[in-house]
Amino acid sequence: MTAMRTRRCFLGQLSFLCAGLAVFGGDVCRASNAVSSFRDTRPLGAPPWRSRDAMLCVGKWAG
Amino acid sequence: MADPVQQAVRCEICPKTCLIRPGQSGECRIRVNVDGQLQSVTYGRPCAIHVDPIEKKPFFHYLPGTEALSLATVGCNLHCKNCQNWEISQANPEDMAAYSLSPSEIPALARKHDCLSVAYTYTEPIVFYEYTTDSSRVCKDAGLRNLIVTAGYINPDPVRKLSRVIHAATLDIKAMSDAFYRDVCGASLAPVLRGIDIMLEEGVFLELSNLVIPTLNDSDENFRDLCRWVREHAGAETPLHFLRFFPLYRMTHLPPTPADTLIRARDIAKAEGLKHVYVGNLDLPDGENTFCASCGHVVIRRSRHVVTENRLNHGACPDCGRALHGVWQ
Repeated sequence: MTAMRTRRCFLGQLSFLCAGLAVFGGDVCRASNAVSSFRDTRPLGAPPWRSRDAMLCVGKWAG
Repeated sequence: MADPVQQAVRCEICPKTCLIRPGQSGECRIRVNVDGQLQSVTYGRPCAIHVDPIEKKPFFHYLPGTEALSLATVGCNLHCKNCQNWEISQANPEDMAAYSLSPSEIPALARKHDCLSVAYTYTEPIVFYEYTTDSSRVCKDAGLRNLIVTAGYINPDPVRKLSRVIHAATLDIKAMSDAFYRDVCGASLAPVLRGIDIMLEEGVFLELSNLVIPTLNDSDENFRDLCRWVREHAGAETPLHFLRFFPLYRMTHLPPTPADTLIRARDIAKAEGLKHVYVGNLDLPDGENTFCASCGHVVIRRSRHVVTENRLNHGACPDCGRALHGVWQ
């Protein structure tokens, strides 16, 4: 009896989660490709790591 | 021993005019005092290089249907609590991976990817000012167009100089409220409006946007003030994009902007006489379409940043012949 109630409760939570995803999923997907966002476009490969020291060496004097 | 106050430098790019002591950076995190000299430490070190549809900037009246090579380094002089690109805009340069890309390498990269323009975007091109201006000069000489996507929080002299090397800007007016700028962005409104006036004087093609955040800048009064200012300063044909907010960064307690709010903003803008008003980040029928300001027919159809139909005839409406405000080739 307890096991059945637990299973029912789990299924209930699962369906609630699915409903939530159906309602808000679109928003989440859309947010990742929003205007001016740097996500979900065509990045040209992964940037290599550069330390701040390396940047200072090649940086340009602004003042 | 050198006096750190004596060796402090003042950055004059933006209205914050940070006084920076040796070894420290300004609020933008990337303009650093190195031994008494101000250095832009992300020069030639973009953290993002993407190929985007130009509509994603958003530019709807500038070379529609083309792609823009889009560059950004870390850093921003604003600290908007709703920033959607906060992972790079609010990062320290030493914490982010970066490419090595000198200004002279940009034209070849743009051509390789069939881009007609280079966009300085995602974070704030004002803070990597020297990289933006040097790259823009090289790209302009190579026949490419330079675009900036900016919040426009910049001092008069730098914006005037910048305006001479860029072709177009899409500028986000956060709200027509100084309190909003102060509380949400850590900035102020007046320098932004002054910067727009200067860009227009210098002949920069301008599109404007306004990210509508529930409860913070979604009042009729805000929309009306914004539209009146745009009409009086930039002209009724200047494209204005109302953008939907999504809960991100430090503003996850607010819901996405309801569609009704954006439709209300668009209605107010049209009532105030603006001719080209768009709704972005929302699948709204006609939200991204361009209409003729004279006969009202659809001239350019778009769906999610993609041009699905372009009926322009030499920059004019094919039905009534009225020239459409924009740069079309």
